[in-house]
Amino acid sequence: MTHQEFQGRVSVGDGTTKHESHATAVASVLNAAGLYTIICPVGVTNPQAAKGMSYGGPVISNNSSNDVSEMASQVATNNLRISNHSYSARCGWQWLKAWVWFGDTNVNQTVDWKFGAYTTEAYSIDASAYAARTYLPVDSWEQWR
Amino acid sequence: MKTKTRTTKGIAIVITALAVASVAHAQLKEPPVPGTYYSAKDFEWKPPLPFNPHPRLPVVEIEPGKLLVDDTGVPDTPEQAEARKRHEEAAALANLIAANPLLAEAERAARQAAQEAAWKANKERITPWLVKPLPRAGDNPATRQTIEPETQSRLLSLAAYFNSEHQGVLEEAAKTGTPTELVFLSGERAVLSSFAEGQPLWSMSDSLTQAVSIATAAVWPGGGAGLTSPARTRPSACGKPVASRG
Repeated sequence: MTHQEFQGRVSVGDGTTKHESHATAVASVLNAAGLYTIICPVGVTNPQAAKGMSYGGPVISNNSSNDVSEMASQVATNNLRISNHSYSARCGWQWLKAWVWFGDTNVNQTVDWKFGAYTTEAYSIDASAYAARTYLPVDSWEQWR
Repeated sequence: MKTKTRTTKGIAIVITALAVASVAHAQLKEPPVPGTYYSAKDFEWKPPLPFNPHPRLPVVEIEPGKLLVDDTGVPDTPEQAEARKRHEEAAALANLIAANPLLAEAERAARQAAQEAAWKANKERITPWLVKPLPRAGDNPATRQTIEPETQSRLLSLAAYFNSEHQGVLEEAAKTGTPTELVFLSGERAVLSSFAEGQPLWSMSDSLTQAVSIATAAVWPGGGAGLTSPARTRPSACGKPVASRG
């Protein structure tokens, strides 16, 4: 909330109190003011390169829990125009400093059915996007192949 | 007992003889001639076949690989008779139209009107499912941003429905003792998003490993940030601020 790149333009939409670096980074791509000076290429100072795509706009921050409901309600009440959701249902084996199996062995012992599945969540997001013609959700749901 | 044995032997001999005769017959029979088979009866409009539909009828090779089957004596099926009738009617109409420019124009106009009527009927049929165009009162961006009451109401009812589904997920988690959040050895967290067939679905951030595989191929020139892109597909450190996915 107090980050120099957001300058008080961030509000919390769902009462969450936890902060997460990934969400902050995503918000910066969208809305960072661009105060941080980047030296890139080597030797060339670019004072505004950290600017987000919509660097003056407000950001509503939410955690991923109950997101589909909050997306629809915030479009309806706050006229939300664009949202980013760079998270998705985990599938198959994942290395998280130990191998973790996210599949359902009752369905298949070796292949996870969720790869490419059109889940209820994906359907719900589509329903909101279809209903709200001024809203663009950018979502990584079900991209796992 | 003896008679029975003789009878059995006799039957076996007959069967063997029939089998040998049929093999000999099959060997003597000529294989079908490969080629494209045309109908003599409907040579002009019936499509050719890659096999002979009437193997017992005479066949003449009119060109190398092009064979004509004499099916003039084969009666039409009801479907063929109907097709022949329609073909002849269409051919007669085509001749008539070709001979009379006024008739040709009338026919073209009639076809266009029929097509437009079909499109109109189709549009009316799907209208209830079409999204209405955005309001553009005075082409004012502020006006365009306004959520219409109908859309707002639909979104709020969707939000209420999705919220009730989420509460159902939380209730099932409490009932089955499923945690709503997992923390792994890597420090990464997974959040319970829903249940499918009784199995929990866990949601996690997609970030570093996905982000390194994408890059911006082009950016608009002349922006305030002064960013440029070499229009390559490889990742660029300078391209990072405009990556579309975190």
